[in-house]
Amino acid sequence: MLNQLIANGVFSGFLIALLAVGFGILYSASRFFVFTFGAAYVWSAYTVLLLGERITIPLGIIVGMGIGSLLSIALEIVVYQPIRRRGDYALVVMLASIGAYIVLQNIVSMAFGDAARIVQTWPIHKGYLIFGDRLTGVQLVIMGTSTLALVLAWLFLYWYPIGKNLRAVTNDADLACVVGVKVDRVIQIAAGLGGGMAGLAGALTSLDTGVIPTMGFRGLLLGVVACILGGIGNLWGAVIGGFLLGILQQVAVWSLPTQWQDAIVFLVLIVVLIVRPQGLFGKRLSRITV
Amino acid sequence: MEYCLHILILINVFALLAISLDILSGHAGLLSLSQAAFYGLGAYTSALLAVEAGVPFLMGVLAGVGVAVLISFVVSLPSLRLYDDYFVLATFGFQMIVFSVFNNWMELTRGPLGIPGIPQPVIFGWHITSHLDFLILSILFACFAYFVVYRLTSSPFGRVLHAIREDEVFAKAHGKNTHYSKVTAFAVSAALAASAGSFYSSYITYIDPTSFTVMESILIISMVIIGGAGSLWGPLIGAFVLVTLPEALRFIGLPSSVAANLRQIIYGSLLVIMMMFRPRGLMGKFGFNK
Repeated sequence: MLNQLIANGVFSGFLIALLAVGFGILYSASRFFVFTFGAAYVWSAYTVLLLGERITIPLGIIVGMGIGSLLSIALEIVVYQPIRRRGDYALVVMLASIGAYIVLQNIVSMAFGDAARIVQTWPIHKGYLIFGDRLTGVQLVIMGTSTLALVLAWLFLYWYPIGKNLRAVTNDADLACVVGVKVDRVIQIAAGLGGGMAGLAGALTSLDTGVIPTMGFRGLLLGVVACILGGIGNLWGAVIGGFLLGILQQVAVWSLPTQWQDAIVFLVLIVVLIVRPQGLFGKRLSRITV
Repeated sequence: MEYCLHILILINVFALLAISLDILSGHAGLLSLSQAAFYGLGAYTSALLAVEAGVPFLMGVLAGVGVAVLISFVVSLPSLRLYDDYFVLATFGFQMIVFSVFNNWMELTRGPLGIPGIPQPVIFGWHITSHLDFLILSILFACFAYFVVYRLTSSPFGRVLHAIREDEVFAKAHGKNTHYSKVTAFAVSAALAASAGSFYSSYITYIDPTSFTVMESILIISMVIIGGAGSLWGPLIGAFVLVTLPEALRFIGLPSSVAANLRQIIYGSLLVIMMMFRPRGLMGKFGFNK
């Protein structure tokens, strides 16, 4: 029983790790809690619903990813960048992103209705036995795609010149600017990458659990909590945080009714914020005061 | 006429909530996404006491305030050590946990079924039944909150809050116990929000968790920010605008499901537009941009 729960936890860990890495990239470049990360997640999930019914699911996943990415870049250029240029404080941009998130979520509600919907995938077999645990075909596809995406993200960040610029901006935006890195452009790329990963996670989640307009907050918070748990600015920390959170959520179901799953995530968040705000693997945070 | 009175009462309830949040977010500069949680704590405490034990209205209000203040200490003592967006995140997590409790603790709160048949208030023999009576009572509540916040913020205590908003380290350097001030401001804010909840539950005579979601918290913070944080009149104007504007939609003849979404789209986009062009709000002198 515990074995199966841990297997389920590892499975949802893949999705959470994807969210955590995406959010980590977005946050460490743009330096505020980007609520519209959740909007990329919802929009992409509904793209899969729309295209999956009419055409095919793989196309839906790819287009969904693209929509998540483009949505993030568009918001960055149209809304956040002008505010940041004015030199305003991070909370102002965050409030704008809350507003934008509400608008985007309600557009989905208006178009598709408030109720939960199921995405029709291929017929379900008995599931495959792996290490003595049963996993469905959909779950295997999700795990494979997530692993691929995580590896690609890692390659991009560490082997590609733009990735190097991105890490420079993450470290110190002003210094990066001085040595000729185009900071605004790099943040746009980070938005595209983070939004794309949110989109992929949303698309894959829709295959597993269906879609509902309010799912964005869930996606956002799973990403944020796992990211903070692992330590912000630490890619591997985010991945490990994702798996830890996934397993914790499933094991908690063992002793508590399922409806408390979300509450547990937030409890983890609050405990981590209080006990160890820099996360398990993060560098110590300090408030910059001049 | 009844309808107009109802809208006026709602404006008063939200004005009270916005004023209560303003002491924390406007004056002390601490953005909180948990106001609806305290609003709900007040509503549930007084409703349960009135339904289960027949406790009179004013006692119920006091009990609700007491519960909210106690819980505010549980939240604020650890989480007020966090800064800026991390504090926002902690309050967000707390809001989600409280909602989860309202929604899932079936034995106490009856979960999504809500609590029906909450008795209407009787104050010293004054039976409050008509809309006009409720309007008068709501005005009394709102005036009381306005008075409390006015007195507090124009006192030396209020000046410490302003100093925290401008530069907390500087205030500390001048020997101010900023932690104590922030915890007190949080408790006062929670207490006033709880009184709004008690009033609301006895006015509507039925409550369920959907009135106390994170969306409601965001609505309240939007009122404060659109009206102008830190100015006494700003939150009142914010509450007036955000309650009346969506009501106008009713007269266009939209179906109610679409109207609810459209209402959120309106305040979401108002939030974005304000942050882009006037981050200090309609009346405010200060806008989270240190």
